[in-house]
Amino acid sequence: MAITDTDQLSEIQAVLQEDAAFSNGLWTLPEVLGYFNQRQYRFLFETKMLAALGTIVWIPGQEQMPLPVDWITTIAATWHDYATDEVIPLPRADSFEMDRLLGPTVVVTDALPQAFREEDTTDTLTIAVTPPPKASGALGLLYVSLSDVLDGLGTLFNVPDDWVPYLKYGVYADMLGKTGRGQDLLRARYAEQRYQEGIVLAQSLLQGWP
Amino acid sequence: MSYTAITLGQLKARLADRYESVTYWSPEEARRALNEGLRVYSAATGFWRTIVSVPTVPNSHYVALPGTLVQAARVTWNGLPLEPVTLTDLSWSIRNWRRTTTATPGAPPRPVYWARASLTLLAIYPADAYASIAGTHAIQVNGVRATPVLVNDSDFVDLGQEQFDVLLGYAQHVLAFKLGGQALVSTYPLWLAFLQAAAVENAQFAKSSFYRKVMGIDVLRRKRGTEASVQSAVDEALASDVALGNQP
Repeated sequence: MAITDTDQLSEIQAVLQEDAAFSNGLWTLPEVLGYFNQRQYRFLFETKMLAALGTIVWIPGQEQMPLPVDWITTIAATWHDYATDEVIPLPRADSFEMDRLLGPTVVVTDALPQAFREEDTTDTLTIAVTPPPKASGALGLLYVSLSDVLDGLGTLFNVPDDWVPYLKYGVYADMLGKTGRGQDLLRARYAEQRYQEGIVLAQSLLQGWP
Repeated sequence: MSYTAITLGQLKARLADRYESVTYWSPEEARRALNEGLRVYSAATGFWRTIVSVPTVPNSHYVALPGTLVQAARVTWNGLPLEPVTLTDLSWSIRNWRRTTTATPGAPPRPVYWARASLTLLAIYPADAYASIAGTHAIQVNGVRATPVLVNDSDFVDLGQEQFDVLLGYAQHVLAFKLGGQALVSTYPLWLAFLQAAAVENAQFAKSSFYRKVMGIDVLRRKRGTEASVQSAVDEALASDVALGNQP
């Protein structure tokens, strides 16, 4: 992770014959940085290449709790029961599955939660466990988090260097696909294909994991 | 030992030789294109390897790889290999593995399994209970290292010469992106040759639908005649006649 946003910006500017301020008016610097950030977020989401660890201290009796604000998607979840100091894995489920598994009588359990849900919650950026536990504990998360915001001031990409060229192609696809004088659909389509190539390569590395 | 046959300067000269007219790229653009080729080759094949020692954090079952490593391929502890498994394996086959350390009664006295949590994060079981002192209590991770980036013209290209042709082709293709249009399209075979070289090293990539689509393999399959199943000896004889060009 040694490539900076300024390095990639200058490369794009050289190829598209722009100056450092994008003075031609086809694109703006914040716009291009926005493309970079979006592509990096999407790349992380689609490949689950990098993971962060998080802990949500659960309020007993609560069914759902807020997720970390930098959360993109969950890779795995565990329940840490404070009383027994035991950590159990929680499989992913939905409310339909859990309703039929547990039946209509279970509201809050003396036992441990059986699964976690990211869907069927009553709010966004929220995670639920089913059934809600009476005892105190914590939800352990292995999740994909938002990458550092690229601001054009020399911020490092979070994605390993070998995949940064693919993010650059994603940005080319956004820039050259934009409706306007700079539109070049042939290069935009090609660049999008290169971005997809990066995703496939990353997925091939991580296949079978975790 | 690494390859020390060709320098960046020589490679840039060879790149210029591949274009008949005065080059439309600057030396810096050529350097960037060659580095991109090396990076993409590494992403596809994990070509550059290294081994690093990573001290374990007492009682922590997660180990973050240092920035010099892109991903792990083999993990050892004091020279003894750890068995690669998945987090799912650990979660569903070892009860409370996340709270188990080498000091837990009944647990193995050293880490025995490792699992990849992400490209740069590993899990080990059981967690090492003791602090690392002078290199003890550390895992050795053999994996893919960061691509050696070329900066100065005197830098050697750490790649076998048999791969230079595809690397130069890829760099030429990357540079043609600047021109776009027919100039870009006419260099597609160079890009595909590069992907083909990568696919030789990466079977998972080679069998991906993306690769098959880009290489046109699926199109060829569609164009090939449908094979009829052979049901009897007579059918088989008729089928072989057709194959030989004889009319049944």
